[in-house]
Amino acid sequence: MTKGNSVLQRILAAGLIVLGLVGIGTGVASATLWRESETVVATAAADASSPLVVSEPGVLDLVDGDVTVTAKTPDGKPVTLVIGRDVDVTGWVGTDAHSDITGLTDWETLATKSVTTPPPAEETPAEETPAEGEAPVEGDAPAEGEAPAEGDAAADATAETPVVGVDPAGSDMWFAEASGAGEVSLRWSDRPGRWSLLAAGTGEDPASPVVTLTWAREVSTPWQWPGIAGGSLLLVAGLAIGVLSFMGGKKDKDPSAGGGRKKKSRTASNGRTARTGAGSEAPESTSTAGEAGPAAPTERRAGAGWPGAVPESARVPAQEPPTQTGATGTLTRRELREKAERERIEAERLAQEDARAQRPRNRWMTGQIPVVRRERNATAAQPVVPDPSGETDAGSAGGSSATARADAWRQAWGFGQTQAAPPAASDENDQTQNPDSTGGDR
Amino acid sequence: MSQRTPRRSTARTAAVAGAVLGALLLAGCTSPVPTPTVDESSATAEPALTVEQMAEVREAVGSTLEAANATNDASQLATRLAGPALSLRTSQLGVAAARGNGDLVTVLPTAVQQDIITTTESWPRQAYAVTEQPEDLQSPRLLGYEQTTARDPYKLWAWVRLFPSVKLPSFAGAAVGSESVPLDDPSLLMTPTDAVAQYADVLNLGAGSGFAASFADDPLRAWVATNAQTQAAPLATAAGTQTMTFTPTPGEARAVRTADGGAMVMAAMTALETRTAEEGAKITPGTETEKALFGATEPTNVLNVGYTTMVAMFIPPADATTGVQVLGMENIVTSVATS
Repeated sequence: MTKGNSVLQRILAAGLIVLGLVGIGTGVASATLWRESETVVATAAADASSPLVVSEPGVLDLVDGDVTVTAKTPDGKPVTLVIGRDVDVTGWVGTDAHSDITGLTDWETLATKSVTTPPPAEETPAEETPAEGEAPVEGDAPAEGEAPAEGDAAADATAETPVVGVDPAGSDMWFAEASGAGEVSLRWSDRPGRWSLLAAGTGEDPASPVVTLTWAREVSTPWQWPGIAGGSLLLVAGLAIGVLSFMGGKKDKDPSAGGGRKKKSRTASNGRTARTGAGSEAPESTSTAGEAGPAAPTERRAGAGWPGAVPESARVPAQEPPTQTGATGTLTRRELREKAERERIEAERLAQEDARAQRPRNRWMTGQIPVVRRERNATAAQPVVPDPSGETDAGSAGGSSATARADAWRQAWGFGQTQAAPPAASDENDQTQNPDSTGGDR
Repeated sequence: MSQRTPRRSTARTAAVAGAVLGALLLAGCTSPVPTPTVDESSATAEPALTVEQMAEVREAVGSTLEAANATNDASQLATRLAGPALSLRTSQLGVAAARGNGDLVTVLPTAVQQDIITTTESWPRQAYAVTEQPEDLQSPRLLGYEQTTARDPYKLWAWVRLFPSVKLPSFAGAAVGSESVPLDDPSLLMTPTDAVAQYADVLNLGAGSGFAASFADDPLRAWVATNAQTQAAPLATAAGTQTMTFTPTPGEARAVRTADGGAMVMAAMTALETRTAEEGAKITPGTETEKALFGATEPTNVLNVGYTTMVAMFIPPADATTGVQVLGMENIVTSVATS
């Protein structure tokens, strides 16, 4: 089992090292390879149905407060780009058909929607600029003459638009404007309020401008240092475990080189396995299996709790005093329960003793890699324990000792199913419990 | 019991490492597209123009006036003038051209003491400005601007010369904006429409008007009385009479809220002064301006002198104890005819 642990440790170490390297690599890549572009350039597809492009408030500062707006028209046609308060822009556009930039669909594309002119028949002031709720031309103006005049003006503009693009340039309302042929651009820094841009193809047969918004983006690399730091930690941990496991492997070999004692110590070790196996890892036993001969693997597998191992382990009653087996076989369920109860109490006592006995050693081990603490204890202790004591331990308690240990563990960890274990042959009892413990382990 | 802890923490470490790795990969590949967030500052109305924009408007109007003055060409006025201001200025420039003397063209300074900008979000929108004293130390002007539709520029719509030593009501700062007041606003001592109509009545009937008590005496009323006497004296020798009738121009009144909840109203009126004498008499125009407007027309026993009049008045809130205060006026002859 010591070997098994060191293999486990090496696998763990390798895994940690790989994870660590991946973490470091990811951290570095997030700041280099995957680093986002420093600028966001988003373009709105041209909408041929109208020479007017409007952005909704909030679009200009979507990514950053500072934005460069560019409007392009094909064939060098005149284009005007203005930025104003959204009420002013929507008021200027009025009921004219226009395309409305509503946001981003992805990092390269502006979302647009087409707004068409309502039927000219509905020329009531209410329909005029729905966005502004100016429906009742209330008060501020003499309602008498002005409202119709406004309606006329808007209607006129609408009528003109298909032929000549009305130029928004020069209005008192804009905060920024640029006019030119083919391409114009504006820089805009966000300020409090609701801002819209208006791009208009002007002149005869106006073109639909293609609007591009360019923002500088503060590219943060939040994963760079966490990735590198975390990766480094994993790497160091992996290396440390690896080193320890190699050292541990060496230590382990020295005592076992004693030849004659080998078998006994292994037996003792096996006896332990039944015990510790209940609470410790098992599948790494492969290497152990190779060395330990036929008995060990089955024992290990029993420890591992493979259900299929039941018949095999039955062949390994090495530590099971036959009497007990027989006794258990003839017990009634009730007796079994009582026995289990006794064993549980005994197990508790044992567990306490065990814990007490081990605490100093644990202390002694403090500072080593915690993962291997328990096993290291066992490893270190095992060779020096005199055979009789090991034998006694295995012999006196035998299977019940193993059971008791498992029970003790279960008790300690709150798995109260011992009593519910189906009655069976005593040696099978061992295994039925082991799967439980294994289950708890996983 | 202690055997489990290391295993557990190992498993946890692995899980955390996996999660971190996954997050890293995700973060590396995608970042969400932001959606527009809108300042909800529109809860309180903002002034339609900033102070800077207002200054540009004033400058634009000023340069238009200046260019028209320089060339005596009224045709360019329409780009930045409208309403009574346009017709009055056009007349003034015509007179100046006829007389070869632009002295009587009202000076409209561009430097201002105060901007009054409305918070109207729809159209038409108004803005006002109180100018500095002109160089000739005449009284400051109150200028009224209006943007008729969103696609129009702000145009000078009306102006008045403030009466000497008049105290203007206080307004909200230009950066805060003043509310535009409906002409039928009930929160005032009287609605703006009524105020203009009553003032016209007071001008027409003098102390005999039923509304005379609501209006303190002012320079325009005094002028009307003086002018009546001046004209009546010579006409009396030919059994003549003089009448003068002010009529509020429909649709040419604007009002803006003052800081105390009252309103300042600017309104245009037309005045027709009719001088008649006995049959066969010939009444010639009196002033140089009238002569210029009258031109070479053959005088008859009737002379109709038309005025374009603009007034500004302050209507206090409904619970006020003071009456309506007339702040300023411009009253200029714009037509002289025999019928």
